[in-house]
Amino acid sequence: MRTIHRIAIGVLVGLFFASGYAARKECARRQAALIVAKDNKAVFEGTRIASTRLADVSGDVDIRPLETLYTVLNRLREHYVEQLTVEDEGKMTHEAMRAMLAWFRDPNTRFIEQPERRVVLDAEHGKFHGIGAVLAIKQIWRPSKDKPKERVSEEHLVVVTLLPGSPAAKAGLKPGDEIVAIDGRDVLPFDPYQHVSDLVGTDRFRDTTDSQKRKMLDAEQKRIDEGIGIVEAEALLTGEQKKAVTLTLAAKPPAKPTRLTILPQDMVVDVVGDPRMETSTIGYIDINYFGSTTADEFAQALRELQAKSAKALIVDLRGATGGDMGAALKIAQWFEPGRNLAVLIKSRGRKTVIQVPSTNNGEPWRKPVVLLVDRGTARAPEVLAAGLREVGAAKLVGEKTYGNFTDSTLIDLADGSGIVMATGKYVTAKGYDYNGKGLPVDVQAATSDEQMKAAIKLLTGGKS
Amino acid sequence: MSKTMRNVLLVVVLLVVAFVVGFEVPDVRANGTDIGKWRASIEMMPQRLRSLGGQSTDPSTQTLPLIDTYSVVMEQIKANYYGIKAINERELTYDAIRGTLRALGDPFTRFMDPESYKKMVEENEGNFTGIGAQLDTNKNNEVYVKEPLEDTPAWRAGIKANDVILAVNGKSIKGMNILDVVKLIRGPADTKVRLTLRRPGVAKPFDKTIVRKVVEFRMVKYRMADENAKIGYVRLYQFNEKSDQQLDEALAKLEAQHMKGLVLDLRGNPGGLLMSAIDVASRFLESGPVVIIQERGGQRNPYYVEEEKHNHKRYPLAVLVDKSSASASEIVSGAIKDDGVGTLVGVTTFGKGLVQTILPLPDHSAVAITTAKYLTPKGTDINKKGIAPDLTVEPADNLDITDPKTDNQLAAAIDVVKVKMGLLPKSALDKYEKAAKVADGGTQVTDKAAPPGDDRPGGSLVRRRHEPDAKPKPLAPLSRPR
Repeated sequence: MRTIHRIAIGVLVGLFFASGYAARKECARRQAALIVAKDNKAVFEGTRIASTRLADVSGDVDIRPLETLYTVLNRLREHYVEQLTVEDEGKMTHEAMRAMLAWFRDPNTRFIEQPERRVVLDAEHGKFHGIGAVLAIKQIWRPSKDKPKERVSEEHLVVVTLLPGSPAAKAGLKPGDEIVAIDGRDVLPFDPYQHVSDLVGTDRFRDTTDSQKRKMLDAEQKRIDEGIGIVEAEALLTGEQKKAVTLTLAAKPPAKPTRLTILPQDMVVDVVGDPRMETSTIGYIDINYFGSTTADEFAQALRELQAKSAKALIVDLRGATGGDMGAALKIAQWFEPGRNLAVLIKSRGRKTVIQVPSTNNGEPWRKPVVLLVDRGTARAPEVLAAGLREVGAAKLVGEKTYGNFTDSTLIDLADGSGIVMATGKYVTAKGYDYNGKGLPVDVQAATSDEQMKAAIKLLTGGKS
Repeated sequence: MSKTMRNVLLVVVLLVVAFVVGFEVPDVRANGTDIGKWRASIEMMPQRLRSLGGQSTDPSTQTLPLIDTYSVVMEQIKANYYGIKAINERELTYDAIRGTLRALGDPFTRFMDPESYKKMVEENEGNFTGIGAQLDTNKNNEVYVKEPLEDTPAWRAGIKANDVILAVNGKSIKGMNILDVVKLIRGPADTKVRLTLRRPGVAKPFDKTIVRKVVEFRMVKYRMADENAKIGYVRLYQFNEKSDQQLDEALAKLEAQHMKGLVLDLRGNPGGLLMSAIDVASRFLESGPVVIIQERGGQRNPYYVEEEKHNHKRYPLAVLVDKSSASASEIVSGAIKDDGVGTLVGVTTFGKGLVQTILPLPDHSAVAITTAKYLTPKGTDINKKGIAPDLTVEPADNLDITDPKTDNQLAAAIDVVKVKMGLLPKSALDKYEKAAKVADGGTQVTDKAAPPGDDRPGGSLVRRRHEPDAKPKPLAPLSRPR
């Protein structure tokens, strides 16, 4: 009897243990489906991709395109007039990836060569090259003229912001400037022939003589032959080359395009400037770039201001860029630990709530905060500003931000090159989408001085 | 009683503890191994990619293998790409293939998607099925018949030049791209297509039903260019499977009109099939090699004149060439120049001394791969250099190849033939030579005489498939009709 009892109890204990385990698993599964934004910086640094279960897609991999590519490669190896080397194949792989990703016509999706990859890495640590400006490829879609069902795109190389003290800033380049030519070479959009197609469709072209038409087309061809691709242009201006470049900037007619000559130089930017007391009670922290050391430097600056018993805080995000969401989260941790900062919308309808980690490194800041932003505020700083504004942790002063809420992922390839791919879009926790529009501010102010004054007024006014 | 109670309580407590422990176990693990696993999976990615390159992990010593890299990137795209454009794996792969080929730096090694491959095959065969009308768009963006080709279904149905097409099979084509209209009109042989047409001078639009047939491209145009001196003119547009036969017919017809001299016009001829070039050259050369193919590895295979094709009299001959005469055109003009059987007039040719083989792919696309070089019979490599004419004549600014009055190069070629025929003194050509010297000192390519290395006739490669190879058109819009 006793033995049977014991066995029964043993089995019951086992069963309960198992059901407890199962219950926990189920809870974990549900929770994981909701949020995976733990205090794990690596998750946000372009490596998130590794967590995607590849098994999800292997079922619908189409073998035929692969077979075609494979056959082409084999034919080349067997028959091409020159014997192909391993180096040839490395080059072929690069060009294949470049062409394949260019198919998307997406400024956030592209192949990057080793030097560009190094530039990305350097930026994470506050090291910059080239003219010292953060550039962006601005894309505009419109319906095609000759094929009404299709849409065509047009790309512009624009200056988002200038790094403080950079050659570009000294030369007088301004945020919002559009670079139309470099050293006299036209900056070409993804499809350089679109312009030609448009030209051919105009009445001006139709009504002219054949020899005039020929001349116009030849001129276009020359422009294209001598031009520089927009991606290449961006890489040139932010890369490690040191030769002086002459930029031609777009101007609204009748004004003539202006030219600027800039000598590139390597520079190190303080990702977070030295904190100071703007008034006796208001502390000020300037963030220039969201990279790998930004969060720690910010924490240190904030502690200094706390020690000086600041009663209010201005965080200057004007001209701040960078894609490090980990930094944004860690900074948010000082203001709204545990709250939801944003929602990341991913492919195939997947969503991830981006939750600010619970605090673990000091007392959070619960006093008034103003974030200074302008149209040079882009990417991770924008997501941070949008999130803090939405939960009421901060007011925004300045100008509408740039409007790049895309999430892109960097995949490193074995030879040091890489692939940048758009993998999602951030919206606010409540679902507001500012991508391509820019984040509105609470108090509009145009010049730097006015912005600072408005911020101080808001902080002191709020108290009285 | 109290003992039973205690026992029951003990069991319950035990069970609760078991449940809690069971519940908490993964939590304990999550603090350790789960995060570890998470990290490991994050770190695995670069490692996995790295391992594709070989054993070493130093990036500078790595080269990326194409297929593996493609597979990994394609997987990532399909799993995670977020953007406006829906992923089209086929198009992505085609662009990857185009990139792969571009890396070779050889503009002639290129990819053809199924549609362009089909079109190329049709062009090489020298025919297509349709109604045989050349279409264009007019000022009002309407599609109209520029010319019904002679002896085609369109011609027989009474379609006239300048008929505007309003609808195809009752479906309005308003605003439609001309290439899409062509697609609608084309179809399998012996099927019907109904066109709604508007004809200038006819009040009401009317319908015509036409039976599609196989239509032959005319590759050759000919006429007697100089009636007095009996100098014939033959223009060859391209080298396809019909070219040689049509040339033969043209020469026979001109001979029937007592032709005494000939101008062969290869201007603007982008080339075509290798065998067609050999056939055409055989009409003019008596013997010897037409071209030497240098295979991968350096082996040289000469291709000889096909003597049974040499069925025409030998007349004084001038060959017109320009910077668009390429590939097969250069084989023919190179052979004629080296042999001395004719005089080249015009400007230096394109300079394409590479032979492509077209290799069909499993999904009905194809790839043209440069598999060999060719040399002229004297062993000259003309690649990227072109063939310099014997008499350089720059085209006049207003030159219209279809209008003999504006064609100064044709006039010079006729003079060359006349000198050969003894109708003009040799000094009649001085003015051209002087003009050429003024133009640019005359770029002459010297012929290095090198004997063919190997005497064996053509190898076993699929020569039949050798390359049409229009040189890639530089400007996209120019490939539109007109």
